[in-house]
Amino acid sequence: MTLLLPTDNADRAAPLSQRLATSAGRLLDRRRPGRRSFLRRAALVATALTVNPIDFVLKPQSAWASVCGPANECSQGWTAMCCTINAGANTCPEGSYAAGWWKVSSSAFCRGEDRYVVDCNRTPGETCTCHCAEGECDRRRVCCNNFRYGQCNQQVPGTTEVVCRIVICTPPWEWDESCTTTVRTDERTREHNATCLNPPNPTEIAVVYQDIGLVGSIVGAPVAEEVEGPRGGRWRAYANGVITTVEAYGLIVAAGPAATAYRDRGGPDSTLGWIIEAPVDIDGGQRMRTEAGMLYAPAAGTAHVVSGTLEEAYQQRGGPAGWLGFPVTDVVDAPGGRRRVFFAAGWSLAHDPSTDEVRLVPSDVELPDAPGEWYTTAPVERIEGPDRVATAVAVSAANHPDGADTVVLATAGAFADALAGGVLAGVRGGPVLLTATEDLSAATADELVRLAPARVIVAGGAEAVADAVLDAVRDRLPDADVRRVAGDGRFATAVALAEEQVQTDEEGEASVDVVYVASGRTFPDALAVTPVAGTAEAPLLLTEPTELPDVTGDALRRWMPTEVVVAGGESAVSDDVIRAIRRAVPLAMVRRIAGDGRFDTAVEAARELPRDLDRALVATGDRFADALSAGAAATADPSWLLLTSTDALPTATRHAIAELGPASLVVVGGTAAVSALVVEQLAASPNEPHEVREDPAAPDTAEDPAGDAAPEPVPPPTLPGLSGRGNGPR
Amino acid sequence: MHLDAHGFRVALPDKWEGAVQRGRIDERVATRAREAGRPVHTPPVLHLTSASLPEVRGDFGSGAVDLLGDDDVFIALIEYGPENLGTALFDTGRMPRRLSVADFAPNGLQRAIAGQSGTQVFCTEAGRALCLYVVLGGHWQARRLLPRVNDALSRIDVTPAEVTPA
Repeated sequence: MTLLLPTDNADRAAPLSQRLATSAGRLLDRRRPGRRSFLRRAALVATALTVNPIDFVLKPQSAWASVCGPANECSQGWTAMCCTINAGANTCPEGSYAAGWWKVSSSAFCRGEDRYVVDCNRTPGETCTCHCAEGECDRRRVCCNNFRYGQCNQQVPGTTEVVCRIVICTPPWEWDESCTTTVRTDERTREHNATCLNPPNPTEIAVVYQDIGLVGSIVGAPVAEEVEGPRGGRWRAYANGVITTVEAYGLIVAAGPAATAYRDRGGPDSTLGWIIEAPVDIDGGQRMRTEAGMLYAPAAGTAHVVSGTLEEAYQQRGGPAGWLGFPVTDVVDAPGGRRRVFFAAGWSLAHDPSTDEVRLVPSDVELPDAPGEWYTTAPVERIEGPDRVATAVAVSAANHPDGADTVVLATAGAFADALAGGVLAGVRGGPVLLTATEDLSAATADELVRLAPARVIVAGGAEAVADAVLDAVRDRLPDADVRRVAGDGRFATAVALAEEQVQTDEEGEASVDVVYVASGRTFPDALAVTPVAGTAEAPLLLTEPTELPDVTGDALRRWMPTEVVVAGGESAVSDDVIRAIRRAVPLAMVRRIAGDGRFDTAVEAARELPRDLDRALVATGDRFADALSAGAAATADPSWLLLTSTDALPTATRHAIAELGPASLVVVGGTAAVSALVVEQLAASPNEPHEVREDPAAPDTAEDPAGDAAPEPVPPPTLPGLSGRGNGPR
Repeated sequence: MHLDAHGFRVALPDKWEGAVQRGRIDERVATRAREAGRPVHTPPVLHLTSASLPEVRGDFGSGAVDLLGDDDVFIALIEYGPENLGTALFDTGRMPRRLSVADFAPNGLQRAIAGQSGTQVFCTEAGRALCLYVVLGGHWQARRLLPRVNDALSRIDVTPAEVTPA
């Protein structure tokens, strides 16, 4: 704030800062030039003769006024231009706001259109000291004149000092929405200017650049001269983008990652051609339409162009905001005369001009050489119900159209009993059905009646499936043997269910060659080995992750199998458990089926099954609800069982499909368990060995999905080579 | 001499000059603003001076204030379009008819001119958004000039006027 001093005459009534500024202005006017200012004045004379020879020679004026325009000295009372005091930015400096504006008609500075001067006044509460600017051609006053035009930001009452002036050729109400449309005029300021502002007769680009704020604009400082481009257009490169103008598309201000990528590629002189539309901000970056196609630029990383049919297909999948993410290549040539573009998600889109077909293709899959020929894929079917109980019913109906002899019934609220019963159900050629704990679920009841089993095994204790449920089953199946198989807890129940399938010899000794053991605390590994165990008619026992339960160890000691197969890695079942198993059955071979995570473990389990199966079931590895019935189904009708994430097909699972070669894929569960996207990805996954190429999105990935038969990865393809009028007042 | 134009009525003091003028705007700009739903307004400006009024002058007196002697005063009553009514800037009451020396300061000018002082009041009268701007040619004799200013202000009658968009 300025300070008022005691006054002893009228002139002293002015604030100290204003008086200091006035004095400074006088000094500036009267000072004798030093060597440096002499050189500067000498240079100005030369410039004046160059740019305005007639006026300078014929009119009595200083060289200064001829080049710089009139009234540019502090003592002449006008306020300085903002770009003079704001580091070249034609914007309101911090602590000031657009407070009003006036118009000068038909100005040469605006290519013959009206020129507007916007006052930036001190924001109330901010500090500003009256002084003279030090611009080469603008030594006008700063923060001195307490005056307001009043058409902008009228929510701010009162008047404060004008800090500086912005000059624009855009009507202020279009430049800043806070400005109203009441026109005030001052033609006597027609020649006011500064060297940081445009000279008379600027180019169209220069006008717009000034209007959006010069170096304070979204495009920043110029990094090259304005140049001519193709077809008579013009463009200029800036630190954060470009401004282009060509008859076909008009003038476009482009700032941000897409614009800088465009600039770095050579602007309109490159293969990109002219910008058609200004950049649009999208999730994590920008897109900008050029003549060559849509330029997609992540906030950090390389921008790429996608065009034509492939761009349409990309947009249909949500563009960068969709699951594919940003492109990691331009559109490149691919075998068979195809065009292909790769994305961050590890997938690509390929267009075959011979058939005009666009396909989704895993990025690490190379395409066949022949046009119109694609790798084979398996048809995908989904089996689902509106909830987990109904999904189990749907799986049962699909796999047992003619009924089943045995049904395992388990609670829908937990996975342990259903998993342990899955092997038993599969071995007996029947399904696993689910029910609510207290009441027999209606859909399950109907399916039980349809299946007409001779035997219903209810897995788990009364806390899992109440006696009332057994009664309800008996009511519906009066001729069936309905009984509960349970132990004290999930581990004992698993043992009890396993006992149901263990063969005994004439002396009553159990005959068990192989036993499978999986964690009873998580479901994916146990689910994945269910068909493996079922196919071998081997029991599946459960264990704590870090400790072998006594009941499980006792069963092993009782059965003395020759082999124990543990599902899952160290994090699922610890080595301590492995050692405990070895102590329980010292003569047995103990091994793991394990991969790098649940999906890889499921792949490893699938590899244990015969290679001549026809189908693969695909269930979610994220949540157990819809997956529980899949194990029994894969056992009863021998199938591979693979796991997927709900929202994306794991690479390991996709590679397993190529390796195993199922003729069909059956997704178990609704879209909440396995999304439509995963189904799309399954449908696009090769079900045969294929040539492998390097995924441009993951060049460091060392996986070799097709095993020994895969050829050396091919090298990556050789790749060819924000918006608005300004930031306005602050 | 009487002025009566665009809702400003003034019986000019002896030897004063006065005029009412309206602004202009490029028709293309006006059309674009109209199409955007923000019609442009070029409401009138009343200029009164004890000196002479040049033909070309800014709405806030550029050109006219240059001609003020120490004994002269300049008064501008500038109207703003109806879109300005009711805003914090203009919603301050009627135009004052009496000003005091304390209202004037050498830095209260659009353009500082040595010796001069000025004051500016945004106000609303007769349903019209207005800005009163007064310049004293010689601030050192403000006390002597104030009666002339207040006499002139008392002669200004603002009547409701319909502002026509450009």
